[in-house]
Amino acid sequence: MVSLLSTLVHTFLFISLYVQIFLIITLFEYHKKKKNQLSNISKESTDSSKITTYPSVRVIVPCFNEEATVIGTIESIKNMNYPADKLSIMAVDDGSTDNTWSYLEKYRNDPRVQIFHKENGGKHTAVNFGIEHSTSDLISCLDADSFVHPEALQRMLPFLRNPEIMDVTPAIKVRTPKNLLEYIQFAEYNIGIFLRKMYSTFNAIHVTPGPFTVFRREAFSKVGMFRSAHNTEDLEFALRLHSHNLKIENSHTSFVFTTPPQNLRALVKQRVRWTTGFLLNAKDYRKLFFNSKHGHVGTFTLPAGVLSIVSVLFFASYSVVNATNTLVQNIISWNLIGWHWHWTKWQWFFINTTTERFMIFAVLICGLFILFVGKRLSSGSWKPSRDMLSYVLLYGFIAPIWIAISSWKAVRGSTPRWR
Amino acid sequence: MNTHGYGKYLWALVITLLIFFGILSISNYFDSKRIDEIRSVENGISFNILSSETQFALLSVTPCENLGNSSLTQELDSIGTRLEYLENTRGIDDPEVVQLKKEYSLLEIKDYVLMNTVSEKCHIKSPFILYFYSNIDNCNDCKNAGTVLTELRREYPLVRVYSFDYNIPVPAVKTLTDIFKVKKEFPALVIHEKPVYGLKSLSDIQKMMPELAKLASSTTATSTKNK
Repeated sequence: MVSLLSTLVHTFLFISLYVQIFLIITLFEYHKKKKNQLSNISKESTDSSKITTYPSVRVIVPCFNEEATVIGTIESIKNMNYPADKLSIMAVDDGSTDNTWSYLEKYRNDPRVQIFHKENGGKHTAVNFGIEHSTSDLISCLDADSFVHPEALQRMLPFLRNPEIMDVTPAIKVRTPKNLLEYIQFAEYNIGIFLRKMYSTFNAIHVTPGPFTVFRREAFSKVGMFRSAHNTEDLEFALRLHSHNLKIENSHTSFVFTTPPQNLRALVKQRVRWTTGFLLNAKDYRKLFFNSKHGHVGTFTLPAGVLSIVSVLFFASYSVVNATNTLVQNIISWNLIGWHWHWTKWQWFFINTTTERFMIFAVLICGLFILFVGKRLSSGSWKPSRDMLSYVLLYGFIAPIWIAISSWKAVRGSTPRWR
Repeated sequence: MNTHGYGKYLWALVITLLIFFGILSISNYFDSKRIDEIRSVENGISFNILSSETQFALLSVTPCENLGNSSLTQELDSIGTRLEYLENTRGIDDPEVVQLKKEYSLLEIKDYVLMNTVSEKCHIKSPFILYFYSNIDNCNDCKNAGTVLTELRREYPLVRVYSFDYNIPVPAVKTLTDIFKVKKEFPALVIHEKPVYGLKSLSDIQKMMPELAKLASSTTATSTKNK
């Protein structure tokens, strides 16, 4: 039993280390490519200052009860550095029950903003409504709780010079973190920026995020519109693009600032939706798994994602069992010998030098390296910050909560709710 | 390095394997250092026992007070703790650990026999406890019994506690269990040469060994005097 447990621990640690090493190799490969200017992501091709012709862009803003942020979202789009005659906005109120519509009505006379109200049907129906009523070359979607950087769109355009690329994803950052939970998410999103950039180098991005992904119009004619997909339609759409062997890029300097959940309950709810959606969509697109015909999303991203979830579940259970055993053992000892505290003399003999401990150490070192690279990509700095410390100390305690709930929901096949 | 296609998967595997085997080598290096340390301490104890036996043989010309070897008990205890650590990290079936435990058990028996004889000759009432545990008979209480005995040794440094794995293939241990008629019930303690079974708390043992109170007061008095 012990040896089986030990084998499992070592196996999961080995897989975790393998995934991290794979990503670190990808990072070095990316830098090598960037240096040699050999690929599509070379400096020349991503230099937005050389853009001479601007395609028309329609930004769709689906709204459901977003009265607090929708104005800021629309204003951030209007403030983007992009020719005004090429950029239009369509805000679609998906049957909000708050004052979202009355806020949108302020734009009734704005020639750049079209506003629509429809019955509630889910985010994807609002986006599809917008796509159906658009004639622009490029179509983008921006969640009504997010805000775009003025240069975000400009920086995406160079990637679309390659006709094979169907959409470009942004770099999502947390908007001015205030509390501890937001700081944790800030670091987590930075890691997301690293992951998305790395995945893009081998066409393995598995999600076209709601906050400001830019699509070529033809993407929808090739694979169809957004579908209802376990409340994670952006994930399903990306997988559908891959199943049609189409490409997704990432512009890691096109920043979008999102408003993160501010309390644990809201965070867990959001992540349960994401994680359950990932598992259920992965199940729906199981034909992609280990199928090299559809590229690396099926040979790396999806298997690595599923294995990460299984690993977290395993290590969380392992830690809980160990912590409970230690607690029970201490209670028993207290009953047997009373309360005694002895200062133990330090001896090298008792330093834990098992392979398990060293493997954990290696995984942590690689994880920290990735955290720092994420920070560097996100802010251009290597300097450790409060958000990184919060993430390192606390993320491991909260992530298993939604991973466990999501796994249970996915096993039962129940679709999580938005709110 | 071809990492444009699927070669990267292989490279990542090779690097991960290199790290893994590097870690394995470092871990084994530290383990072998530990084993060397235990062996070195065991050799030291073996020499000390031989020295005590020789002194004992010269008992007619050696005063009883010169025969004390209380440091031996502490050294035996320290090996016991180290062996327990190795059992936890390398596993109870590890051949090196099993061999070290066999040697340790023999040293304990030799010390026990010698100390018994010295006690008789010098008319000293030394408190001895023999503790038999098992690693394979699902003995959940054995670990707790170990905790109690460790605390007992801390409180009464003059108590000699000898712990034995009941199932270790050492004939002398089997002889010991036969002498005291220790049954296969764990944890088993031999106190005043009689076996007692089941988990006992510190206060249970103190009740079973009233001489401990005297030992504690004499230890305190001695240490106060030394100040």
